[in-house]
Amino acid sequence: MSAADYLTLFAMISIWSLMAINVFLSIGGFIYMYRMGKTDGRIPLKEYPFVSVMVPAHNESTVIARTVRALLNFDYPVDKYEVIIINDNSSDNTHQMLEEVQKEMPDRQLIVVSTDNIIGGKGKSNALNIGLSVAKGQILAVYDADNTPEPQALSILVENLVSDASLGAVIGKFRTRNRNASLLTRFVNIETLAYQCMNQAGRWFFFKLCTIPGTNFVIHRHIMESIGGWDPNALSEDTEVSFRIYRMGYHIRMIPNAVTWEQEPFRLGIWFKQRTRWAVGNLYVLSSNVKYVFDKKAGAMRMDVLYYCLIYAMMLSALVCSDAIFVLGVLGFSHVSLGGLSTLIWVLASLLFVLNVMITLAGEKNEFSATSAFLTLLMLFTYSKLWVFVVLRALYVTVRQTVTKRQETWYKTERSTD
Amino acid sequence: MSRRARALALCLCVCFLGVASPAEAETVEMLVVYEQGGDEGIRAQLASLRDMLLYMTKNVRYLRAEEVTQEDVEAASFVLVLMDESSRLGPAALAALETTENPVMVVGPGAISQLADTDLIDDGSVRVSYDFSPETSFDKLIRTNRMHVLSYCDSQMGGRIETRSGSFPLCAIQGNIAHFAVFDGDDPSLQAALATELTRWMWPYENDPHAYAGYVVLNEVYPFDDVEHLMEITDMLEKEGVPYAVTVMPVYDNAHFPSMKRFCEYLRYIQSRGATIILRTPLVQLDEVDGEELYQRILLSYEAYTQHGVYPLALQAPKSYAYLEQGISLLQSFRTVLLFESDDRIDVSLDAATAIYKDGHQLIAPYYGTLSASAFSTAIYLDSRDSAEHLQAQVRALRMGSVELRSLRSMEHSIYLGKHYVTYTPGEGLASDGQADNLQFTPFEYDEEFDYERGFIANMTEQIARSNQLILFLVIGATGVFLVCIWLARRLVRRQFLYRPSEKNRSNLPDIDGNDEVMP
Repeated sequence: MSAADYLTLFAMISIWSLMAINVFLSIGGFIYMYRMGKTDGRIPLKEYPFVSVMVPAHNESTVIARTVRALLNFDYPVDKYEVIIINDNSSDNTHQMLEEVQKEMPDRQLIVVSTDNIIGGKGKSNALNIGLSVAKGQILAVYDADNTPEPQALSILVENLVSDASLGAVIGKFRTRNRNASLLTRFVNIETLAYQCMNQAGRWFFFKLCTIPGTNFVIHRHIMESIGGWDPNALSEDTEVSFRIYRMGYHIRMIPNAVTWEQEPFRLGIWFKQRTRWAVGNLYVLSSNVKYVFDKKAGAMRMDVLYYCLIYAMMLSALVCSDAIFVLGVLGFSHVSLGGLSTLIWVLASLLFVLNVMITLAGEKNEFSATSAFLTLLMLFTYSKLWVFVVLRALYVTVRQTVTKRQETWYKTERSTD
Repeated sequence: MSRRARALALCLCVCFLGVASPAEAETVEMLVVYEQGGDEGIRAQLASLRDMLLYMTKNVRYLRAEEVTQEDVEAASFVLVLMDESSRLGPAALAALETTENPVMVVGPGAISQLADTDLIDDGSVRVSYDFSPETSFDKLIRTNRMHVLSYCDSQMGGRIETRSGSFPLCAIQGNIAHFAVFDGDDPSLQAALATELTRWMWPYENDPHAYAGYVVLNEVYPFDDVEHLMEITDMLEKEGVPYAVTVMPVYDNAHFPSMKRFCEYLRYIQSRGATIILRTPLVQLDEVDGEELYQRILLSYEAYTQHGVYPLALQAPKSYAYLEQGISLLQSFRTVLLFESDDRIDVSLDAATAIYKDGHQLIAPYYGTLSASAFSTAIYLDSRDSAEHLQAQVRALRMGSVELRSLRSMEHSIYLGKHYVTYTPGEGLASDGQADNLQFTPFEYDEEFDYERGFIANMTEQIARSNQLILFLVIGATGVFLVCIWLARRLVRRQFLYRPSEKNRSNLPDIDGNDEVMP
């Protein structure tokens, strides 16, 4: 049995295992979304707690005004929340844009904290910690600077968080605002719906596990304080915080009724840098938390760490192996002698992938169409392959960081004008 | 020992066993004079004649008409001329053929008018009949252009031609010139008639030539064939009193598997009851394979059978093997060779067509239809995939015909392959490397817990093939569930599933109905 045979076998088992996990999560996710879809997600409170909505912003002049206006348009009682924009060492006219909005709505609690390159400019975690230091709210909400949340999003998140003491945080759903900007944003839109929202819903449904996505979530202030704020070394601060919340015994719940719309990278270069940052962050979090897989006291968190390990280790290696064997086979450098690999099975795998995505799109308005099905199939052979390069690049960066002991700077995703 | 040495050893063995040795090198039994570059019809006739003379194991020399000299003609015991009607013999050839006293046969219309007194028949088509025996004959219309018949004949041989001008013999003799008036290389009836007439013409005695035997061969039997079906056929053949042989396909790997032992047990059983086992050559395009590799394959396959007590006594090969060096070299290992028609389109030079003669094989030709060629031994192939009832009908029809069905075990056989030297003599039996061996049947003992040692790949391949089915069912199940979910979701979307009543208040939000989301 040659190395190509072993690798093919490994790739096949890995891909089908991950496919099975995804199908499983999608079915759970669908049931959860279906149930939540029958409600408006609201649990009215007698008294609403004070909320600090924090938005880290670094050179966000193109989008920040629209974001702030959306945040100030929440249907949450206006005297019960403040919006804190951490203008993190911006070199553009973000500050002026924010001043304009302040002038427009002088009676609203819009706080702008501007930092220089000594205190600020050290990444999202650092900016959030600065925001935390000035926040008054018992509950913290975090939004990215390119978000336009729906008016009821904050109320839904807060009501659900306050109503269940077992919850440490509640997250909402995010959608792609610039879906039709390019083929890439079409792919990102599908990926966001199918693999971030539906998988989160499935993980919550089966395991009471969710990972904070970095935006559109609320969290108890005391939890953030007890864990010492956001880890400034973590590029993927959301995953890192999630794991710490798990370890405290809290759950993180997803409420799909709370929706925010965000701008996704519409150019490949920007997308690649953004995803590399996420992957580097996730690898950091995984390496910090992998020890908990073997810790019985870690509870449900073990499942999540294992899930991420599977995604990164198994999927990456399986895709690299299968693609390499395919290319080398076409070039005549390798030959797989393992029989029984029916072409029909690979066709079925593609069908399952498409259906798995379509089940998510079917629950959304204006997403379920033949074009989407075609794009999903196209995505399988194009966009999904890019993920391999992202993770390989992230691995390289991680190794370089470890060897040189130099922290990678936070790549700020470039925005475009709406 | 080199291949050449092995071949020489076989030839010596053949001589010591008292087999008729080939003719002297200088002696030519037959000279075939032909016209190079003739039309398609002549080429087909020449190929047919070449095969016929191969099966008759004649020492033949082929010469183009313009190359023929007096010496060539005188050096041959018989001369056969095959040319198309428009071709003419050159002065040298004509002089040589006119002056020779050796028997000359002209086949077809070419050159006969130069060598004998003839009449031209230009009817377009004629009726030709021929009686092989009281039971077997043919009578058919043949399309001809400008046919020549002898104006008179000293003696008539077989067959008749009916024309509008009258009736003429198909084959007749005028002086020392014999003429076979109508020939078609693609017509098995005429081929059989010519072969019969050639044999008679060359027969040195007053009486008729002796009859050649037909050998019933159950063809292309594979180790994975249903042994019970094979047993049914061979039981039927025994019951019908028909001697038979079985051609087994070559086996190279896994000869120790129980299935191979079971197959060989069947072969040993029929072998003990008088059947002859024949080894088939691999199915390869001969001009594209290495001769030594082919030889090793045959050796491997031969040993795969002999290790289980099955002794192939002859080799079955495509006809093309007799004309190409790699094939001839391989055939040298077996004294008895059965040939069959194959689809391989290999160009054969006429010079190569005589090479195999020197090896002194017992060549057995494929059987031409229902008309017996009484000029050489033929193998009558039965398809092992046919039902026993169908084959029984076939065998009964054969028994009604004039071909005498014999057992290959009535002949001597010898094999010199690798380190194996095996002989078979009727009455004495089998001798392997000089030691007498027997072909008696003793049942095998089977290992109940046979370890196939199939290795990880084979096991995994089987596992994957099995899991393919499971995956297929699971995917179908998941697809069904997904389709139901999609249907439910669409129905609920239509009923405002995930539709938030407050959407109309989203003053600064993108329109989720779609197109406003597009970035400029």
